[in-house]
Amino acid sequence: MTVRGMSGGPISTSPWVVEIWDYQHKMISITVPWNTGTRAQQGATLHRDSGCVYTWIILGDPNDPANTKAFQCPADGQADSTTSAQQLRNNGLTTIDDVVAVQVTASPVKPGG
Amino acid sequence: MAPTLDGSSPGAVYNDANNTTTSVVTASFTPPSGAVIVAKAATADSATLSVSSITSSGPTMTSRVSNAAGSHCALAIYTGIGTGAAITVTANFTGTGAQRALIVEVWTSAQLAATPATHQLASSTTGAPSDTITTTGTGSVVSWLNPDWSAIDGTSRTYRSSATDDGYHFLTGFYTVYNAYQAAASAGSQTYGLTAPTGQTWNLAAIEIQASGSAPAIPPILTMPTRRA
Repeated sequence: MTVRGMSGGPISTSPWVVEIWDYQHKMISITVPWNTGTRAQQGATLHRDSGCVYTWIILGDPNDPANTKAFQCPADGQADSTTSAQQLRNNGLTTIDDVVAVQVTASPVKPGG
Repeated sequence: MAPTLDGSSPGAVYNDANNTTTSVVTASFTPPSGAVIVAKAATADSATLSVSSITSSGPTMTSRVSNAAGSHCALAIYTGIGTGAAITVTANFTGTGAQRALIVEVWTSAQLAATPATHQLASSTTGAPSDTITTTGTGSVVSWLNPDWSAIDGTSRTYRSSATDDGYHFLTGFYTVYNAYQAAASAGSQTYGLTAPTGQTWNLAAIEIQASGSAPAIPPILTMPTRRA
């Protein structure tokens, strides 16, 4: 159980988790643990239920491919995949605040693809 | 045939930045011609952000339910009709900033009444969410959402009336959003919501999606045959 925190503050609990279901109730998700002191992100884990129509997790507007960060999720039957903290930093995502600064959604195709 | 949730439904969209008001937009998707599009949006706090509109790059989206009760999450439900062309749907907001969500469902074998049955109820005290909507068709579906301002952890959630959830997002200390739908085989009062978790500051809203070919909501006009002199 949890209760409402202070409005106006940044997110405060690690990890950050987003789960998105398709019409069959199959799920795709991204989990980003982060250091609650430094707020540094600690990489990401991507999960996709076999058969889920969505195959990409997208940070940013999926209709503006030049300004999105797209994560390809595991194929049918594959285990969860991970993206390292360094790989996220290489893409401009240093803190959890960088990660949640834009919207997140899922798509069956890569943005621009 | 009852309405069917279509595979063209786009992924839910969440923005967990509390200090921005930017719109959220779906990926491009192609609802079949005649499909009913149901778009549901919510914010983490009506005091700092409300839903101003939901639009699409194609069909006109019509506001069906809107609420921004104080000390609750704000919400809105809009509907449109697919044309078979690819579109995006955008939820727009007004205020100073809060987390926000958009779920879009595409329903085939479906229709909307001229004035679809809807209902909305914001809790007056904390508890388990419960409300009723009075449907008018047979073989309908009730689609609904419940953003919880108390941000109770819904991991062990249980739904009333055998509802199927198609969108859940929990952000500790901010809000929890539930999106679901349920069958409404017969016209009449339909209970919707959750039995757990309790302690929610809930704001429920629902809309009826009728089965295509359902009886019209108004009776047919009767005409008398002419009589020969």
